[in-house]
Amino acid sequence: MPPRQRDMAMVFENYALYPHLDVFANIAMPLSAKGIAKSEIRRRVEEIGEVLKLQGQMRQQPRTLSGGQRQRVALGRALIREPRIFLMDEPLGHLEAYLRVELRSEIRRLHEERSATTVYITHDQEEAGAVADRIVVMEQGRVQQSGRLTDLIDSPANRFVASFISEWPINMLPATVTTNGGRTALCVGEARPALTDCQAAVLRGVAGESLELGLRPEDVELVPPGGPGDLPGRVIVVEPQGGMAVIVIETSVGRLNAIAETERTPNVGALIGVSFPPGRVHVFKPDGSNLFARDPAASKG
Amino acid sequence: MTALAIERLFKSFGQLRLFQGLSLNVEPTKYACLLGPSGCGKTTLLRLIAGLESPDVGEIFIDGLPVTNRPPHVRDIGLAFQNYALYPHLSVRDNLAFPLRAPIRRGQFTAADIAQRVTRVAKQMQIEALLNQSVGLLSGGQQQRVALGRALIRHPKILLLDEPTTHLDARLRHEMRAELKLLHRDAGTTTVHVTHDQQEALAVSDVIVLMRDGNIEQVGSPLDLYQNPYTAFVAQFVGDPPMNVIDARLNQTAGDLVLEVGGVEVALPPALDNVAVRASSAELLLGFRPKQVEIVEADQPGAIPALVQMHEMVGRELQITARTGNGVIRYRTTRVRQVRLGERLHLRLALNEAWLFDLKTGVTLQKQTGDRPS
Repeated sequence: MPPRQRDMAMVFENYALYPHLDVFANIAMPLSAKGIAKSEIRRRVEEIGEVLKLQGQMRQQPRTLSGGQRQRVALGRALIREPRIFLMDEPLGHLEAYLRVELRSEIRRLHEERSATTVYITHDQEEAGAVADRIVVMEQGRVQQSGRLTDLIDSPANRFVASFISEWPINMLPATVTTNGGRTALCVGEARPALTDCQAAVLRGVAGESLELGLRPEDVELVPPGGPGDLPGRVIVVEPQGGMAVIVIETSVGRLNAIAETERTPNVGALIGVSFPPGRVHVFKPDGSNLFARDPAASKG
Repeated sequence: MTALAIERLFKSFGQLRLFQGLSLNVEPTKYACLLGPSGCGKTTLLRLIAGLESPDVGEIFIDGLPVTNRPPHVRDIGLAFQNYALYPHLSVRDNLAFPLRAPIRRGQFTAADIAQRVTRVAKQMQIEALLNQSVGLLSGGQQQRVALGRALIRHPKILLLDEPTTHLDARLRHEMRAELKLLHRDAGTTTVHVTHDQQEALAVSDVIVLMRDGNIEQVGSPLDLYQNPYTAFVAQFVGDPPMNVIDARLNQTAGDLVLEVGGVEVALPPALDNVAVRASSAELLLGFRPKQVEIVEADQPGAIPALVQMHEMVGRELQITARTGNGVIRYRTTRVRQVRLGERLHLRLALNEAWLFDLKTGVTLQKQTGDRPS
């Protein structure tokens, strides 16, 4: 089926407005083309104009508008069609940061009001978290994982998803697995993180391989040094962030970052232990897949 | 002695009067960030310090010496820009050595001198293995290290950095912040770093100079700006998510001072009793952080009616933006629940900590412990 028969509306990053038509005519175009009554067109364009705060610009031509206004006109032209599916390709791409934040809430609001299925393309994971019910992470033409934002954070299917969907860059440390008389241990430098029975069983199959342990800075637990199983380290940098701080720790297997509340921030130079909470640890195979992903089926997409 | 002193600086661009008597001191070995939104004048100030612009009126001193009318190359500064500004056809080694070989410094450095300095700075920046590579082939992070090394090679009195991490991806940006701090601790060079990113300024600075419309809004340590914001602007600019600042009214009920917010009376936290008496009018601004809000039933005391404008997941936390009679309140929680746009709910402020600002000037009513803008 050709595009026009698919009952969908598209919004592009580069607006694609008609330069010789004013804002009203641009938004009205999909309806005029269908031969809908003028009074009905006026009613719907005005309604959309109000939602997108374009009432004052209805008689202006696109070239006299700011980037943000043009983007809203392009959105308005798509929204007026009330299609079954919206396709949006980086619809906020050219906007300033504060307008992006404002308009993404408008897009979400319109979505909740009309509940038309929307496929929204963005490179910005924060924007995805704000507008979407479900996020499909793609790389190199493949769906890497799809799910709610919290699923992608707590149980990334692979190394790419773990790195890409993150508020703070995820720590990656070299790790190996040893089996000794039926006991399976995950080795990260001096550390032997606690494992659930299920995790130990999974790791038995990859003994001796070079693995990577992923642990988000917000999931790192800082403990007094010397605890069994913990990774010893030294605090080399403390970066205050208001109510919390980023702690940079030097260990035998490289640097790692931890987030700590301001009141619990250790001093630079302090010796500490890094503890690995069992539910928060990810272990990546050389091919990038996460051995601890809760639902491996999700990664196939 | 101050490493950098700026005294009553005036600078206009046509009709725009950007600086009107701006003064600033930076003490030796401090790492200072010029922070502010675009158009606040932070980059212009850096360019004035570097000598790439001249002030209309005012004096600039570097290490006690007046440099106001002196060209950049005699100011004893090192500069690194956001776009690195390296010579792409030259090797890392030649880029690093460039400031030492400049015609203007002919005879100042011997070949042995230059070789020694290049080796040292390359080691410091961890780019020894790259010395013979052409910079055109390096990654963004590596190029930024070369640019920093070049800025440091003359052991300048002041290192000037203009948005040094802007073009790096998130991971490298975090790495570079730690590197900058380690480098500063090592070399002890007084540093002035321009950034628009409050997270970066908080992370790297000893001192933050928060600017707005050509004025200095506040000077202080990262913690100082976060805990004792001098104005409502500072309170909303520093910290993520930003502090809520909404209209409030001070009422006297049975001899006690209470705040009226959104038609609801809210008890003042004890810490604010002494602050509130300083208010010059009953109308003021109340500041509180998004975590100091909770959703409650309508019949609870202090429940403020609100309309959900936006809800979004930020990492594992739920952030709700809701409109009340007195302005928009942002609410952040780890207790994720279903919520719909347009939903009516009730919020209660849990004000164990809060800030009061004058409605007209935006200036804090709290006593300030840190430096005030001069």
